[in-house]
Amino acid sequence: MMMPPGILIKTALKYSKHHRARTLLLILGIALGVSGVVAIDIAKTSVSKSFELSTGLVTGKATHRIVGTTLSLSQSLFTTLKVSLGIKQCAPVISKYPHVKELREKQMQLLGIDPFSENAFRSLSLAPDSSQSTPNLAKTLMSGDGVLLSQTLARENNLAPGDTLTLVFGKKQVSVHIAGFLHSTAPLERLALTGILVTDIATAQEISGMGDRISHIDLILDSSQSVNAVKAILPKGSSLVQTARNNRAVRNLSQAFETSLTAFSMLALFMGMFLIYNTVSFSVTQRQRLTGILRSLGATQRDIFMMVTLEVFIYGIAGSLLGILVGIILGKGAVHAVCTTVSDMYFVLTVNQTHIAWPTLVKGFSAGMVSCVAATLFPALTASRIPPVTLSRRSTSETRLQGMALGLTLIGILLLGLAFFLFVFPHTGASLDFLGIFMMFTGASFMVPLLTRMLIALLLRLTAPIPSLLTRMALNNIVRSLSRTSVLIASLMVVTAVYIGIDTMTVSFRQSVVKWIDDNIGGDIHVRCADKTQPAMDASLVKEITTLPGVEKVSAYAMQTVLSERTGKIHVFAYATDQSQREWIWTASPQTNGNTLPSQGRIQVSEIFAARHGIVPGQGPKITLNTLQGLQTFPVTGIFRDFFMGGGRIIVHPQTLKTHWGFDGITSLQLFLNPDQTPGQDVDSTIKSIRSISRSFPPLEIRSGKILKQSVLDVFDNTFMITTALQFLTAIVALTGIINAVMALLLERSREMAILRSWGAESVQVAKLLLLECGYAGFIAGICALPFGLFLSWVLIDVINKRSFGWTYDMVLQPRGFLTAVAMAIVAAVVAGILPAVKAGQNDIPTALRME
Amino acid sequence: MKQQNRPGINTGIKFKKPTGVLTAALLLSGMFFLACGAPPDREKGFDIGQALSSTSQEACFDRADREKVITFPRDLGPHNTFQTEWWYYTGNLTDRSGSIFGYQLTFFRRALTCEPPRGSSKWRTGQLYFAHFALTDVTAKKFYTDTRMNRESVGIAGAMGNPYRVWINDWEALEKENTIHLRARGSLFSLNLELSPGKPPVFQGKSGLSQKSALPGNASYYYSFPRIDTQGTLQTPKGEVKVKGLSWFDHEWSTSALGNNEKGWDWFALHLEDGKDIMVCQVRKADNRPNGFSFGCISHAHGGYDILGPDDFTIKSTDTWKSPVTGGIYPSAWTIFLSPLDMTLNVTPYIKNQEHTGEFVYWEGAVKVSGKNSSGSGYVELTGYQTKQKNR
Repeated sequence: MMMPPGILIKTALKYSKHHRARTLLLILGIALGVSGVVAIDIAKTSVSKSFELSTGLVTGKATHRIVGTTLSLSQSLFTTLKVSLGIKQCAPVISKYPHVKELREKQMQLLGIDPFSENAFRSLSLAPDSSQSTPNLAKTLMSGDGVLLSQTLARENNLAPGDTLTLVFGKKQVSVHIAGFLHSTAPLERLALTGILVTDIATAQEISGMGDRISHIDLILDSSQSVNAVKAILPKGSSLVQTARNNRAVRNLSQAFETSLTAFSMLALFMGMFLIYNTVSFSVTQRQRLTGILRSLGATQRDIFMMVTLEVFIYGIAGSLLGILVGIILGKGAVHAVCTTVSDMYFVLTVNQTHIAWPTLVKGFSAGMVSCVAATLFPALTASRIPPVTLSRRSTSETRLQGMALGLTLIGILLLGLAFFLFVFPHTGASLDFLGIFMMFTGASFMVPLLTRMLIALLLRLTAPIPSLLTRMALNNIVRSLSRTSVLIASLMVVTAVYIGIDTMTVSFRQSVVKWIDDNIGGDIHVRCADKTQPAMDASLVKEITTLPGVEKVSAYAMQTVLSERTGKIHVFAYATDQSQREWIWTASPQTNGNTLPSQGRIQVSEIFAARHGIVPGQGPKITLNTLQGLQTFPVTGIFRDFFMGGGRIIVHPQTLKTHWGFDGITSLQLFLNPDQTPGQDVDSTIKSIRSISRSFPPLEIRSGKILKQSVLDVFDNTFMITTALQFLTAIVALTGIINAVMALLLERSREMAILRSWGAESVQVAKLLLLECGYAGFIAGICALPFGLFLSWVLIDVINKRSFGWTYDMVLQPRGFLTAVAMAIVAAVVAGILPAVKAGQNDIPTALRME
Repeated sequence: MKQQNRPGINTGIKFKKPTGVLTAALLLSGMFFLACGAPPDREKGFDIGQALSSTSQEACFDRADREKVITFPRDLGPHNTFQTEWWYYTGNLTDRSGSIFGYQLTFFRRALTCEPPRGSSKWRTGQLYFAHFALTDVTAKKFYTDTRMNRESVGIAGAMGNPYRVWINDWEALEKENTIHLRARGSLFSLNLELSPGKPPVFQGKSGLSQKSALPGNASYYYSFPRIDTQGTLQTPKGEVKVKGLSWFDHEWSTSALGNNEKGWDWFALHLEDGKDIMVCQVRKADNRPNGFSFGCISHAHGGYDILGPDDFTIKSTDTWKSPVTGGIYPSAWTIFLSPLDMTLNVTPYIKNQEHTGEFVYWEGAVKVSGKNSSGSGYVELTGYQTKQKNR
């Protein structure tokens, strides 16, 4: 005989109605878990979309691009392509990224184009309104300083044709005039237009001081014949790249970072699963009697299974939908944070669009539903196995669990071992990491019953001298109801472990960054060229600054961005003098004279660069780079630990920079002042002196070491902002679960409390007992969390972060952090227990007894 | 009508040859039309290249308002103080097997502004160059056409007199040792020809000052090389062929444009087997009738020439052809009567479809000439028949 499913569902829902708070918490937990996944996914798809939009518009229909290793090309190459090779579809481009004052300092891509080479490439259409000023347009664009900008952007900023725009390149400012508006009927293209300023290539060349050079040449080449023809005439120092492949490579720069964000969002969802499991388990055990009655009334095992699953399914739908809503709200913030980091570390995103795609919502919803069902499976199976009698008691399941504790622990150890193997197993892609984290937490949770029993035994022995009945009762109670308490402790342990893991990671990272800043970009004053169009400082000015009274030591170096076909953009440093302290992994014997800088023709690479390009310590690593002399292979003599930018950097000898990349000069200075600063020779007065002697030169950016350090730290903090937000989210999800669990656990024991009360226990004593139980449970969870938290921090530092960013840093153990974590677990458990404990103390004894 | 034996002699008769200005006007009106005159796809806007090439007239340009002596090689080169200029090559060629080909290679210059460019960048320029290249394969009944457009910057396009060279990308007319080398490569077809002028130039109008209307300055400077021996190779999808034949060359520069009343024109440049070369042109009003300013010339076998006025010839169309692409209905056969020679010529296109359907729509193609006393071949240009300019 089958029971009509409608009745079963109604029964289940009616039960939940009596436990409204817990049902709400359950839904909230699911919602928060889902919201994290949705928010991160929105941020990721938004970065992709923003990237696609801006590069799509700028790349246009180009199939190939000629790029120069010094990020510029001689414009005569364009003439050769046109006149000697007769390539019809090729377009010269100058691309710069100024900030625009009148657009609220927004960073824009300034695109200098030849309008007559354009129509095969980019769909740059003028707004219909511009037609009225067409003759002017030609004049201002071709022979003046006219720029075109998006009509949408102009409207938002109340700008009209003829208005002035101030382009800011570092400290250099250039005024241009609005010649007309760009427009598109396609909404996405219209959005992409808001990231660019279009001007004639002549204007762009004059503004950016490029002389006779251009940034790159776009081409549409449809046969291997024409590709070969172009390759044949390419001068040294330039190369032909496929735009699609090139764009993909740039996009991939930040992929690992984004994957790490997904990992964190999954962590939040995982917390959500724990919560669901908790809640459902409790409600199943609580309804044991009801289930038994239903079974005796004819409900089959399948009916009961379906009843439990369906019920959670309904909450799952509600929670997931709510989660999507919250996720969308959180997503907007996440998009901003993630886009900022990506722009800071990897590539400039001129369009910052929140893109909410259907797949994201579907993904969030299914993540919610799958976790619900997965977390419900076990409790639902348990419920379905309840025999159709009313005599079943919990003690049977308790006995079973006690017997299983050892077995569970063994499975737990196995899972942890497997997880460890997964992490150290070399692999790409994040799915194995996710699996590893899942296995790690499951494994750790399986070990909780045995660990709890062992810890309680220890605690009982330790507290033996204290004549407190309540303490002993509380400790014994935890062991007695291990089937419930271990779930609570496991949840609390997982959240504490996550806290410890992320906290250890953040603290370790920050400490390493601070040390790196002190070692590498220390110094009291930093001076660098602020005119981004003229990177080198005047040699006489360098001499004057470095010989100022009070300046004791100097680091003087050139920083150039160069381009290589296989590696993409590389930041090349060449030190004239260097005070940096680096941590080295030598791949060739360092020079004996104590000078760690590379000799001519050799290079040193940062760890991130090494990781990205497969340079491994060992005998004789080499790297081949495009240079002005053509492809050159350089021996890598050392790898240093470094946090510079997303793609890392390399160090070469100044002569190598000159020969191979044609750059000679100093772009930055770090000044170390005499420690016993005499009046007039301190940081502020030295900065003043530098300002006055550099007045007649191109603008300099002069900052004190303190301010620079802060601004570098800000970039890194921003990188971790989203991680911290997710950590916070995880904590809320977990706390929701814990409150839920504690409430269920204590309410379930109202009969027990009533008996205590009937024996004469005061309500305060009952409440105290319950809170003690909570406190001990929290303590046990906190202690168990320590090793797992450290395990997690190792995973985050050495596995996920290393792969995401390519940098390594030492784990810094902070006893104070661990104490905080344990204290937090205790406080969380006690706080969660306050309301139920007070309630239990106030319960009407006869009613409570009768109810049972 | 008066015969001229050498250039520079004032004939005393006003001849009006608006072709140059009109073509430029058409070229640019095509773009300007897209840009300003309620473009058909108003929502879409228009592209910057189009918008920029549609400059308005400026008063500071020079005007063809007085006679001047045209001298070579100086005047082979560009005249940047005038707004519009072109170098126009058309010709009829045959290969060894007798297959007939026609070609057209035209370079246009258009000044965007009369002010000299300011600024340090070598991309700065006020000059824009266009080129049209067409090839008619009569045997295969195929017509190929392609265009180029560039600014005169960094050597990608330009013109000069000594040595004579006009070029856009790898399309060029280049003088080497008294021979003009024409080189152009389209997507499916190309041309590589050597041209040796067989006759001295014809200076149109008054010693090359070709008046367009009564208003002083509404004129152009204009000369032609009517018969140029041509040989070289053509490349079509079928392969490369060696060819020989005759070409016609026009060079004209001006600033002024025609009024709104003219709709288009019919221009004929014909090489006759008896050594005469004939150019006639009629400008049509909105009702398709000649506007009374028709003009032309007869270049004789010995090199002397006669300038023709509106009363010296009639052009009667005897057939039409409708373009499947633009829907324009073009005349497709003509009877031309030249009264000074008392000669009637029947002109028919070698193939009907020689319509340029790119940004500027017009018909320009190779034609066959037959008459009682003489026959030959030549080129015809028809404008103003298409219903509307094609939008990209």
